[in-house]
Amino acid sequence: MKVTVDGLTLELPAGTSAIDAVFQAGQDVPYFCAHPYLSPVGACRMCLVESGSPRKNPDGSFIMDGEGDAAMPKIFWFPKPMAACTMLATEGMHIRTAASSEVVGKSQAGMMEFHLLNHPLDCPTCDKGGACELQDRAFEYGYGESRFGFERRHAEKHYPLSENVILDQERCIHCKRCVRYFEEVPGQEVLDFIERGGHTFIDTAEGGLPDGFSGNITDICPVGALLDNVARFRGRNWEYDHTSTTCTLCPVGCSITVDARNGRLERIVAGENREVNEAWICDAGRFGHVFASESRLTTPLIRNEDGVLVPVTDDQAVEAIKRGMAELDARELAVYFSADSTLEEGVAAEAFAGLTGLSSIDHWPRQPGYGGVFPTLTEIAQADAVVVLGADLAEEAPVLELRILEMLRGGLLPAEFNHGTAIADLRLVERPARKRERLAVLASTPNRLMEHAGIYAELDAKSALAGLTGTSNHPAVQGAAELLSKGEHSILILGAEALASLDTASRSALQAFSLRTNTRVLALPAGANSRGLSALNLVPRSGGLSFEKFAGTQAALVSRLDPLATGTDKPDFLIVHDTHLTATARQADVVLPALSNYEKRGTTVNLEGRLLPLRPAALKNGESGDLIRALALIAEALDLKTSVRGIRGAQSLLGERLGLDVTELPIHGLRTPLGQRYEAAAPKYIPKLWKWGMKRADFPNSNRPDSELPQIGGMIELPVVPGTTVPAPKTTFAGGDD
Amino acid sequence: MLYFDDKQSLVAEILARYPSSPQGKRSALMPLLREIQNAHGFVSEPHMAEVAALIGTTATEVRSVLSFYSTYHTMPTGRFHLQVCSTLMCALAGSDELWDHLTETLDVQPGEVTADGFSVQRVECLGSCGTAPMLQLNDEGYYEGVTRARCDSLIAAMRAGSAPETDHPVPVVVDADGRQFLATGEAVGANTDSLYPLSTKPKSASSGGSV
Repeated sequence: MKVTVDGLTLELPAGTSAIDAVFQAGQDVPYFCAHPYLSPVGACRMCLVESGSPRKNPDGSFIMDGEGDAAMPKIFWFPKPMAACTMLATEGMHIRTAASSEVVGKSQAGMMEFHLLNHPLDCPTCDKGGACELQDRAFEYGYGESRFGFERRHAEKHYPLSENVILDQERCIHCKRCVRYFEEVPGQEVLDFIERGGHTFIDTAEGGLPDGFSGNITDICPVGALLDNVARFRGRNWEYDHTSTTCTLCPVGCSITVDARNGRLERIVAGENREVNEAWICDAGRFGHVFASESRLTTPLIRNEDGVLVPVTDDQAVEAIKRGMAELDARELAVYFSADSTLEEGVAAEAFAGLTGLSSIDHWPRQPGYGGVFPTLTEIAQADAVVVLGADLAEEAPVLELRILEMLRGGLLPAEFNHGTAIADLRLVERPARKRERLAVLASTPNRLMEHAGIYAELDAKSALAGLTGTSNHPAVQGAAELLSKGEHSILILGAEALASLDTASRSALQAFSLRTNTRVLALPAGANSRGLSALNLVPRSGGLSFEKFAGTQAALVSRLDPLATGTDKPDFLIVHDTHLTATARQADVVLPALSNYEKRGTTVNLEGRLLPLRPAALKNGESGDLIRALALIAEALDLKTSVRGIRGAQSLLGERLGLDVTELPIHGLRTPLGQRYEAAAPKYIPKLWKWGMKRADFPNSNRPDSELPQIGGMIELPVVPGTTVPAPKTTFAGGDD
Repeated sequence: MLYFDDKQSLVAEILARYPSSPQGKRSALMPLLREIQNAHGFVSEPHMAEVAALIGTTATEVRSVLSFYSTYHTMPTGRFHLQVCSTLMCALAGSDELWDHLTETLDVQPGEVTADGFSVQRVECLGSCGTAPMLQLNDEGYYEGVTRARCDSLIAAMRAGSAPETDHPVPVVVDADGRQFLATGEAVGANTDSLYPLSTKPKSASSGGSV
């Protein structure tokens, strides 16, 4: 299909919208209402273009213009400008943008004047300022002044739609993105236009926005009407250091941009990854970042003669470890770390275990996996039968829920162009029909996804799985089994509850069932990087103790885990590597400050086995280091010469292992075989998405013993025992792209 | 008790007018709202939720549709509900001044009802631009070319107990079968029985309906 934009003729696939034709040609039109992952509706009328097409005579030949060889098909122009986002580009179509048409330029400036009629001039105090589509487009395409001499509309300026989203009704330009988002993406009709004409405003009659995915409307709002309340008034857009990285709250691995200001994490916005999260993230991933900048540990601490933890230098910490381990062999040290640690940290831990010969090494949470070829998220979105068994996706992998809902709408992934994802894919329609019968949800307790499922039942995972793979007289289980066997692209998703119930018999029954019905099985990993860490030998060796037997060890390093929160006995010598002074850290002999995953460089593996990069945001974290550094300090204390002393060493070791350069990972990630899986028995674990410290309200400094401690810049200032040397505070930023 | 609890046959009858698909069911929104409004004079929030449950949507959606049309009310209206057209043509002919005069004389604002039963509302175009400025009384009809003096005399008559005859009844009314009639009683449009697919439409019937 040939389309001519401003005189430039280009070849385009059929089905391209005129707005994408314009951008593909390298030209520009302004737009507010179109969004790549939402239906185009032509609400804002900013993308006006002049367009025309050739017509044919009754005999099939083109109506020509001109004489002889110079004759060209005559272009019949539409009498008025057309909205490019809702217009299909057709063979031979000619399009003129403002670059070549005065009419278009004037129409767009006129529309801009309309958009600004009631828009308040509060850009200087608006959080969107500097990153505002309306502001940018008004500058590029507007008249620069208004002829409207009357009073602007006044409406509610601080209207809380929920705890996390604040609406400024005056700023709204009625593009309807948020309304369409809720209806089309999470399938919740909770926002809509109220009233009409100049009085129109956005509101809900449901008593607030539902939990889960409400924060995405703050990203897609083209003006400052919908704002992230956690980040509100925390900084201007040009002050933020933006870092594109990967979210590690759950195993989905959404692309995010971390915005930091003055070393504090102030805001997280969704990044685009067509393969993983498209343009959406969950509310926990967006709003739950408070802990990253509150009460952080910034220096090592050791327990002095009086039994009080005091801040020290790295060297003093190394000395303390050396003293503590003096009576012990390096093999007696147990190493436990969180399953959201990076592959690099995992490689370092594995190397450390090899170096010391220790046998007690473990990561947590961990649960039995299920092998086989697991589907990608895009394959799930394009499947025709999905059964979710023993999983509460709202807690385990929220964005996977959105991809399953996408499957119900037909799994239409917008096309890709030189300018990125199609701005207006005309296959996406408002109020899409949903094929609910393609989804079955079987779980022991009601969950959010059940509302969208054609087949659902409250059943415990063990009997549901047994019924699915064997025989059952439960209609929902029968329905689910039939769905999977009839589907051509069938996918079974197993959550924590289902995986905990797996034994040898049910495993082989499941294997037989998936072969028989040609079903692919996705076992949800317990931790953000469980999939990656299970490819490294990070489970207890023979004679070693697993994490839940932590109290039985003589000496242990516990990294970003809090086993003593529930009050078990501590080992004789305890080294804690953590971001905060947790219950475990309070009982430690040595505390090493840790980096949160927002500040790490490294690689994580999501639930579909995709390697995704972590990049360090510019957060203030003092002397904090990752697990690689903590292990290097301990190796130094033990007089061991480790080969992995930093991120570079870990990355080259990892690169050798995987046969690729992990420093060159694209932000969209890369799927690669990870090789052998290391498994060990694991206790039942039910993931919770929101953890301690993620909300301001639950940051309980007040009911913790250190409430009386002075806090400076959000960091704990520990009491100093007279006579101790306090290391000079160093301001370090593990930031930027160093 | 909810409004439709004892009117299940009416609900079934209204729903039967539309396709039974989830999308089609939603079309029953407006007639259901009309039932409630005719009975109570306005639609309250519990009733919005009730309609939402009946047609499988959310209260937000119901409120959105309801608030779009000025003929649905969310608050009780008076015996004399005066609706002033305030769209461009009427505005050019002085509807703002008419509105100010009306509200000052009656001492009432939108959403309020005076002791003597007046309520006011600004509405969008009522399609009587040639006789602007104008106002509509209840669902009954139009007073056209309403000057200050005429406004005063209308109010005086209503205060005395009876509204003067309207200049025109509301142009198009819809009867229970969904048929539309002009104020003159002439049928307009078509009901579903008179519609034929184009392919089967008999030639003689081509001059049938007029819109």
